[in-house]
Amino acid sequence: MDPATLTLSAMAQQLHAGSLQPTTLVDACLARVAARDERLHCMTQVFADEARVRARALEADTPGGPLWGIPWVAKDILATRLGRTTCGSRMLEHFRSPYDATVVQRLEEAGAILLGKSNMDEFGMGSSTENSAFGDSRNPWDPERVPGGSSGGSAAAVAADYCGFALGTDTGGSIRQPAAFCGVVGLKPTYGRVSRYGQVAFASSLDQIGPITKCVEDAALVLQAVAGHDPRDSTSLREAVPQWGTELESVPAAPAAVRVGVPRNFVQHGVEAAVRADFAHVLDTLRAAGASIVDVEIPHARYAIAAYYIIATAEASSNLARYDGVRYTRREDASDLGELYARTRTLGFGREVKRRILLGTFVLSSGYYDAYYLRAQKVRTLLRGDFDAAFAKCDILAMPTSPTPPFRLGERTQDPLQMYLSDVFTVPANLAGLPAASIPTAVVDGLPLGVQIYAPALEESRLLHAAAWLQGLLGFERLTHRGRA
Amino acid sequence: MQISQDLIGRLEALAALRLDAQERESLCADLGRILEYVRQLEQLHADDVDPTVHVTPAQQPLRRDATRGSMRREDVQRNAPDARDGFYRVPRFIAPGEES
Repeated sequence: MDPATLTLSAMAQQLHAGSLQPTTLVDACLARVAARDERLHCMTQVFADEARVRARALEADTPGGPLWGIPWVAKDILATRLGRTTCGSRMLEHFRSPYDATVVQRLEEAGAILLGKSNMDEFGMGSSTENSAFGDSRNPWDPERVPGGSSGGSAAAVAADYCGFALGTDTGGSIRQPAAFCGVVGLKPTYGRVSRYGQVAFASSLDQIGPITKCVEDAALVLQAVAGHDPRDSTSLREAVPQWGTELESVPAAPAAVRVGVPRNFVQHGVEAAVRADFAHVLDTLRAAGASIVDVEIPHARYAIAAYYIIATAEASSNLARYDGVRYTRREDASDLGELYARTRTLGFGREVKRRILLGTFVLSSGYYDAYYLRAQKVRTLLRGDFDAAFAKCDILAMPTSPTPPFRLGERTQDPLQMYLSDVFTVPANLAGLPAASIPTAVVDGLPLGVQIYAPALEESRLLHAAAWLQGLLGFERLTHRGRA
Repeated sequence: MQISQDLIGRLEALAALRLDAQERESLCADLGRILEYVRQLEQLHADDVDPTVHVTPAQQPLRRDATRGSMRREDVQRNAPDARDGFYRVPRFIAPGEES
């Protein structure tokens, strides 16, 4: 069996047993990249030589923890000293970070092997990876369809067995939606759980880094390795990091009376038939296994997309002000400083980024601030109240990850609003700061679908247990391997 | 919502972007449609609701007042399109004689 197709947990088992060597595994992963990436274009850079050198160095040593010797892929929004950190943008095409992001450093210390960096929507702005300055990524299940976004390259790389796992970032669903589209697991942790030092900022009150993996147990292992306070990110929480990986080794076959909340009014509208039928099947499966399904209301969720696109663009317009042609590699020369700024930004940013900067500039400008930005922040307060009330009646919430299956390339590029609406079920978690995960459910007409679970803040343990349980009930693992073969 | 040429011109100036006529026309239409959608927030009765600035409790972490290592200037400035002697170079923006 090709070791690249194994889950991270299975790779780790064989590496520790000595039946698989890091060099063999790295070669197997690189062979998958070589065979498939010309078509799928998940990667912006591949560090083949460096990964082989590192694998040999590890091999000379004794095996360490569960990520020892595991090849992984970083979304190209994460700063790495190795290679460039492009953010999918012409603006940073030649940018070389002088330091590693905290997550990159922690994975390095855990013995993981950085294989390369993955393609993404420019600065994380998009839901299809079609906004990358370096070309579209394709969905491994059907290359005529998008892998989702903005972490589309990371999700597709995991689905195409390039690596043991990948990291993505999630500002409004950018880990979970591509995970659903590619038939893999994606987890957005509680806001503040993972240090963002070295993550290029998009919307600072929403951004969070998280794992994309082939199964729930793998997500637990990766999250455990990267989570925890970091003095270099003052928004990172001073909370102890549970042993999520070990915890999952003892998932009860049938946890006692799990209450699954379903916001029915919210999930009724704009959901395609295939997704609706699949979600009903998931609820039936849960019910049959002993869970009770509870109707809950999240009344302000219908304002989430509007609030999100105000807050995210406002913060982006501020965060992206630093790209001025002076410090970050790209410059369009001009005799006047103002002209230099404007020319650099106009030619360096892609269309969607400019659209969002202008929108963010508008909602923050005098005369409009109260009507837009302040109002959107009030929606966040109301939404958090809704979730508190809902979690008083249930343990977890369930809803589809995306209202549609993976769509075709080009299908939504002319209609930004339609593209934004594909995030309808994912943005509420970012606005409220909650942990949420997407897990694969089924393959319908050759395309994977996903279901999403929300848990209260800091309840990643509950989230992972529920996800692992549901994964077992749905038996998706067999399907993925057939589909990805 | 209609985005006037005047307004888009003002936003471009604030954001240091310069759109050509075609790009301006299509972005005006996009922004108009997005703001039309966002207008649904007007239905919200939220006068007595506090805004959420940050979802985690605000904290002002303290640390020891001790010197620490930092990145080397030359490593950071390696990414500058034009740096010399530790400075970033830009076109002159103070006219001769205005320096003091």
